[in-house]
Amino acid sequence: MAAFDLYEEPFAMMVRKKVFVTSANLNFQLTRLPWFWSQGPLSGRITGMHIVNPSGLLVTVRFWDQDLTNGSAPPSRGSGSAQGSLFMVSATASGASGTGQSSTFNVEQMKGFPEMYAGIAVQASDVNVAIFAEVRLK
Amino acid sequence: MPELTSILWQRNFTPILMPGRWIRIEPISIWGFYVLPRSATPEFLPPSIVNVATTTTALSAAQDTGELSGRTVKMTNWDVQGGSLAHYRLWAVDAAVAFKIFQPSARAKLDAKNISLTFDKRLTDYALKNDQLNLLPEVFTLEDQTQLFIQGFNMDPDASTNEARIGAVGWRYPLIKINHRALGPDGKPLYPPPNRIPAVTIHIGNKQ
Repeated sequence: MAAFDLYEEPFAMMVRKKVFVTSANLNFQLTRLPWFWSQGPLSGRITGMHIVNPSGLLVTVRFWDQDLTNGSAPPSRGSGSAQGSLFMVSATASGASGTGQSSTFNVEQMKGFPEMYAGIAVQASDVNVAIFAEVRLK
Repeated sequence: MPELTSILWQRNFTPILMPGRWIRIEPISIWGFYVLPRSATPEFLPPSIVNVATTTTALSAAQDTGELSGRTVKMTNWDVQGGSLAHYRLWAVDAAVAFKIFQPSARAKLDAKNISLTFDKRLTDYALKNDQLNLLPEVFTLEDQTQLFIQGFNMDPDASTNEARIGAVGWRYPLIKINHRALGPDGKPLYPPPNRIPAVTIHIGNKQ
């Protein structure tokens, strides 16, 4: 619980989100953020996640701040390229080709994940990558 | 929430009435003065969870074009037996669902000037984890006379939800109504003002 306690920020809550990346290096939305909420916009950041890559290849996953479905959302920040992403992880390759590999990133490893305001967009360098994330909203 | 409890507003969730204490329930023109008799005690009401959605009726995903109407349920589960007042503190069980309280249905509680405010798990988790139970939204129900409605809104823009649970824990106070204007055999007020100073004043709202 100690690691979780780090993110017990005042007036924050956790939601769980997932995205399945069906094309390598294309944009996917892990979650939109309620930037339009009448009682004030909520921002979000990932505090922990689990990445599964069935191919077993080393995969890089890139995150940036964008609501991919709405042009009037808060301005996007960053992009899906390696240089433009706001946060990036490399999920471990498996020892044997074709053997699925899962990688877990805990709250300490996600410390550099920036606050996002429009939505959490994602690209992965491989196809069929599943991302399960714990997102802190506040 | 200045309209709710005027005194005995404490850090922990203690009963606001003890045996022998009076309570003034506003609007006084509808309700009046009551007493918790010395022969009775406050009774704890253990946690009660209600889902504002159902397994077949989901709350639609939040839309950036504006807040949806959500779904409103009448909280008859939180009514109490005749002659009783229930005193609840509320918390959100599911994340990303906001709640509004109405009592009666057309009268929103937690209302600011321009908006009736919602609360969600951000507030209630903070209150519970930090032992700041005074921050939990509070409602009272008098018997089944003061209909309470809870409206749930999905805050998640990604998907609808069938889980919009809200919890309540509280106290039940068995009460006896007092005719505070009664006259004694001598024609003088039976309960002149110094004797009818209530322990607390609460505001419930109009009858439906």
